[in-house]
Amino acid sequence: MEETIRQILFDFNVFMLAYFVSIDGIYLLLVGIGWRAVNDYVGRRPLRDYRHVGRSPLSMPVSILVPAYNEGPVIVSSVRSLLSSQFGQLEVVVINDGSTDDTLDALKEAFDLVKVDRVPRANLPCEPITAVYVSPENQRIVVLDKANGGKADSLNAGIRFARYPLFCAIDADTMLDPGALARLVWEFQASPATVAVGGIVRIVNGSNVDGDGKLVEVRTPRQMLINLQIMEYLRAFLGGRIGWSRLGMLLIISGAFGLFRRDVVVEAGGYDTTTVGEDAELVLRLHRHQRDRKRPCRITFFPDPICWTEAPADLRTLARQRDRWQRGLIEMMIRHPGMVGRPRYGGVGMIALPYFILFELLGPVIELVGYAAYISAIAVGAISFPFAIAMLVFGVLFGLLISFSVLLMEERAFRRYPGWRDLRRLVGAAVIENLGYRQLNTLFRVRAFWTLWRSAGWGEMSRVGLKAGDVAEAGEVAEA
Amino acid sequence: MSALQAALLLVGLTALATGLMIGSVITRKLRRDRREWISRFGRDRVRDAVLAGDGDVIRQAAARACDEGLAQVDFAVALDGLTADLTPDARAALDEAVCELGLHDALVAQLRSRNPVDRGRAILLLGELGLPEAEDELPALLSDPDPDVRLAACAELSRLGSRPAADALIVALTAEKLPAERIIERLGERWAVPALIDALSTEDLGEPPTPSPEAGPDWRAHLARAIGVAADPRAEPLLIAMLESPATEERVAAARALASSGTALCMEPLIVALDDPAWEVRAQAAKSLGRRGDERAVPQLERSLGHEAWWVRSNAADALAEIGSAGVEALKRTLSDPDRFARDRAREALALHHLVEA
Repeated sequence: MEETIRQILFDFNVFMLAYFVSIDGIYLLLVGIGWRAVNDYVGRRPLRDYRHVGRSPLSMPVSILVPAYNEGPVIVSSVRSLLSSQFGQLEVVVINDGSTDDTLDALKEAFDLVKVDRVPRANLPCEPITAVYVSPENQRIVVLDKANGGKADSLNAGIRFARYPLFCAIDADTMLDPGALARLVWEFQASPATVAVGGIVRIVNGSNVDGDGKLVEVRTPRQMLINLQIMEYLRAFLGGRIGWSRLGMLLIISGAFGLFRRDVVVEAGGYDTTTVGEDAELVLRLHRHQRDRKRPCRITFFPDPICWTEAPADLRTLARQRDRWQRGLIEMMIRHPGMVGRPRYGGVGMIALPYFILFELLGPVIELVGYAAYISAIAVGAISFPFAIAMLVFGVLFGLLISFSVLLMEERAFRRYPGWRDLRRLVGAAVIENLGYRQLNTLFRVRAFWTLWRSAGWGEMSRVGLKAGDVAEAGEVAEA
Repeated sequence: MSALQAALLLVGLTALATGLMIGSVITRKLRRDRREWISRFGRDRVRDAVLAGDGDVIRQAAARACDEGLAQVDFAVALDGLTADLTPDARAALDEAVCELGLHDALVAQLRSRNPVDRGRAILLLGELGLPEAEDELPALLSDPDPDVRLAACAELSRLGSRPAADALIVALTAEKLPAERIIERLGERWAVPALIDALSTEDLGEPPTPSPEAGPDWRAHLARAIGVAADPRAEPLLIAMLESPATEERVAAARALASSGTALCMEPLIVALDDPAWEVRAQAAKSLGRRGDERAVPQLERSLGHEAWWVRSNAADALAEIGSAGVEALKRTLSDPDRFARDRAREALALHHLVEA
């Protein structure tokens, strides 16, 4: 019996080793593909006159949708910051999602809002809109006041009243790089098949921001928890997302920063209000919608336009965020099982979705069981101690190889963290994350299965309201 | 080999790869620091030299640009916006240095490279240098298979600002080689207006000098939009005539262009356009009349406040508010109009223009 248990544990550890090698190997492959894409972009960058895109009256105009629930303290500076974007053809649509604080009053006072009669331009379901306001001083500011319905519901309301053919969904507490919109719009103008483009989300903690919400200097903070997340974001965006995008199999565009074609989103039914991962779900649905109709569908990620967001600075908030992201991922998979393994959906159905199910959805559970099996195997002598240590060191080194590859990509193309001190901190974070942080994240993500089961049952309705400070990007670092 | 030995071998190899990777990160950082410094310093130096007509420094930059792609970008950035303002002596020094080293030949040859980035860099530098070869070579690149190359060719042709460049862009516009807006925004400059007028005056497709036989149905509307962007009154008679066109898109484009390119002459035709059979034309005419700010349009705009189409009502109300006191009086009168829709739009326009409390 004892021998059988030892054999099972040994076999399971071999399986786990193979699993880790597979996941890290795939990631390394994606980094390699991403590296080619980044090299190509670096070469093309001087050819692209982004300043002209920002200035031209004929650039595709953009409606920026800002859902706001109890964002009174930040909403005015956020709108001002968005208006200072180096992109002329834009309107900012703030959707006050039944806030119970002074969000609407702050906006009314700051922009001298006037109630107007506006005709919705699309028919999407959303909670009742009680009033539409426009600022006489700057008619690019539109405010919708509506009953509380959650972020997805607010975005649907915003899409209904957005005037322009492209809309950019962002969180109220995020900041855009001044040239970010022009870079995203370029993608639509250069390729008419483009349906959606995601930009990179970076962490602002530690950087210097002035009173108008403009980023003055980018720096990494002293807090290790934040640096660990910066490293995670870099790996998720530069490592995974560029690679998936290059393969035409991008499944996630961050809810904090993405640009979409309004007509296609409306046709696909807008955001799903019954999931916490409405951003990822929409992207998957757009793939499905376009491919079902045999239309070209370019959904891509562009690593240069940057949106800055604040990362959780304590474990409690981090746990809530990761729980939410993982739930979003689970719900996304539950809603589209028919796409998995179907050649009709190309690489998305045949490769990306199976990968996400095996390594991102089930990954945390398998990883947690793997840790338990690893410790048990050492305890019962199923694997020798030197072999166990060799396995551990191999796993850590492979992870470091991926993290350093991403840092190399960052240095090659973007250099947003220019100082040597920043590099030192990020290298330190890449090493330290293996000593507890990664395992903690696994726990948070496993807990999401329980949270989802307890709150709504599989696949049933679960409506969420916006919460201040809750950065919502479903699956954001799930792929890290 | 035992399992442990295999594991140790794997660990060793991975450690080696990881070590090499971190070494690459550090090396890359050092190289980028150096490269950025060279670029910054070099661009300023070349810029000063071009302005001063210092042939030696220009020759050095041109020699580097013959061999290295990044040096081409540095040279192009240093020249950005400079060549149009050069003194004849400085221009001569630049041309001499560039010709002496055969940079123009090298760039023309590079336009045929298989690598789109190389082609793009050549376009960039040819355009910035303002060499005559650019006028001959760049039009063909408007049909390049790579979108970045096509757009770069479009931008650099507009930088040349010459008649042949305008003709090439008009051909590309009518042949729909690029999204129309990308060419219109480049053609929407005063230097291109004579070419636009000539093209619009052409009755039949395929006649010289411009529209392509492959032209789409909206090419005349596109040209009118470009004239509107250029805000040049020389095309006013053509635009007024276009208000009579059987194509709705052309009438809309003409009405829009007259807002910026028209004079007092266009007021009557625009007022007539408020009764156009197509609501899109009526809405655009109302908007343009608002931009013109002429009180003669007030009675017809006031009447349009009760129009069945929301956009016509909306634009008419905004136009009245923009026109000034006579328009505001008309809006105030409409506040007691029996038509609820007209009242609502008048109230909103007044509020948005801070003319009455909301």
